[in-house]
Amino acid sequence: MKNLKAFLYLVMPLLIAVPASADSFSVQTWEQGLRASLNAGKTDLTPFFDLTKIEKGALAIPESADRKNMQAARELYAKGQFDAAIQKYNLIEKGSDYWLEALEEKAWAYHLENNFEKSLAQTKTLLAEPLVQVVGSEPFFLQSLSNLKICDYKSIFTTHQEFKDTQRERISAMETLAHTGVSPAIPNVITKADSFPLTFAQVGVEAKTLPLLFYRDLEVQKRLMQVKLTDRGIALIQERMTAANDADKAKLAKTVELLKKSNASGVTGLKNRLQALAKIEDQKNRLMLQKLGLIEVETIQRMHADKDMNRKDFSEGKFSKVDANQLVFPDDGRPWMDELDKYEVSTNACPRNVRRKM
Amino acid sequence: MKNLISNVILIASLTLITSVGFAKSTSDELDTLGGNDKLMDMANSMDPGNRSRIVQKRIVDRNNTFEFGGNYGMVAGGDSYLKTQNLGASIDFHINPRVSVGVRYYDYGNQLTPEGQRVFQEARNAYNAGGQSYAIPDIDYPLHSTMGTVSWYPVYGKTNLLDWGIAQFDMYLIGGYGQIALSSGSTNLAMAGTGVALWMTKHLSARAEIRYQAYKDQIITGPRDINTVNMSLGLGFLL
Repeated sequence: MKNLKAFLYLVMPLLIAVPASADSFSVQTWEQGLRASLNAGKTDLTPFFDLTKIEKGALAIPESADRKNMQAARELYAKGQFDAAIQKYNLIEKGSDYWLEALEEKAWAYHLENNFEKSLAQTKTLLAEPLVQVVGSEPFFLQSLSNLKICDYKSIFTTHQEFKDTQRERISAMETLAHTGVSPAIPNVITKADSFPLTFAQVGVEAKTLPLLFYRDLEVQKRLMQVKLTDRGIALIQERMTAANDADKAKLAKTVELLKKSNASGVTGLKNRLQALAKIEDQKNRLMLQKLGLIEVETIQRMHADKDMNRKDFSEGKFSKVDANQLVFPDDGRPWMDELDKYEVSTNACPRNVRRKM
Repeated sequence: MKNLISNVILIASLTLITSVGFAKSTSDELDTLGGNDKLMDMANSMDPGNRSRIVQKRIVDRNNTFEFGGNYGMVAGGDSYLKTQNLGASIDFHINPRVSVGVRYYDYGNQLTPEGQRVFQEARNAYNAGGQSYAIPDIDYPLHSTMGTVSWYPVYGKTNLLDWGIAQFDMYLIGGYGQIALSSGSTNLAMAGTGVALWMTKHLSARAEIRYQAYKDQIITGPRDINTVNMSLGLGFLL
């Protein structure tokens, strides 16, 4: 009954992303307008391909309560007011496009407050089955670092093994994209993008092999829109040309030529931008890998130093008490979708400020 | 010995760092992590026993909450000549998620079982044939019952509702006492049972219940104990 993996993958895009809002730019509506103009015999199609003007309206980031809360949380975080920042992060609901970022930043805030139990509770969610493919490598580093702080060496090695098992495909995809600019996911994203601003709900499974949050990148969206509109425009105009008179046909052919050039430039721009983003992520992956390596070295050293440490010196963690309005379920490593971000961790932490015998 | 260990650690550390530094690609570097069984065994032996769990709020707030329900049930046991079904209505007041008190009303519909039909038909045939000796079984059938109940919900869980969503549920024990109106008149009724209540939305519940009910009916030979098992399915609305 608990094996909901397939179901989780199915609903994940719906769970963590807001669908396109009613006031977003719809490619379908744009297409209908263009088709109507062509059918009316118009040959001046400038308004339909004035990308600068269209982008200005379509790609404006919509103001939302979640965005405001995220900004406020980040400002508080930057000032070191972690408790206040956490309160703001908590306001961001599971359905928000910002939820994953809020979870990760909240995990860091708890970590910086030395509240490793709560930090681990957040990273457990981030590294749970449905999300682990789209969160990147940093949550692994954070989880590993938190485990190091509480001397949970076993969990460090387990985290690193999970990192290898779950991130290999993504890391490899990022490397290929960074070096070649090619990814089988790019054509799929072009097909799926049917409204702007782009959301996670639209890109869905493609996010697994494309740079983190690429769908929010303004340049990616501009280029994607350019490709999408010119692509559809060319198809519609060519369709119309079959029924047009010679004079109109010539004008439309000229437009098609311009659109083809624009389309080619859009494809190149999109490819280049995704390649640049992939390079950034690849560098970050390399950095995270080095940090994980350093944690592993430190772990090996500490294990030898701590192997005779008295377990009685460890602080014994206890779960907080729950009341009749709360339900407690065991963590079997396969969370249900409603269990994400509901983790609680109890740690038996090693004594702080132990003088290391190295 | 200590020096030896330190040297081994130093060499291991340098090997790890240099391998990270000079590896060809990021995916190649991945293999530099972990993979040492002896270290893993050592780490396992130092497991601090950290634990994790999942804590969720109940979907339905059942503190000082009323639940109105309707149900359909079947009765097993009791008089062997009777087949009884019932329609019921209930009001439960949830004091908290663990305890509720309530009132139940059941309206019974009775039919003769095939055996009952056979016996009555035999008697009728004997009478029609002018027979002087025939036996008609005496039946005291239930008409309706009302009782007060107390329910205790000690076990909870959740289930996947055909991939439509996830519903929480409670298993409960129920006890009750009241009156049952029989064809012969009213008598006391005691009940004990168990059930499962599924909280489908904040305002909709579904219950499946099995109850043991005991009362005394009155037939020509005098009172006798009737023990029945009632199984019911119902829907409820929480306010």
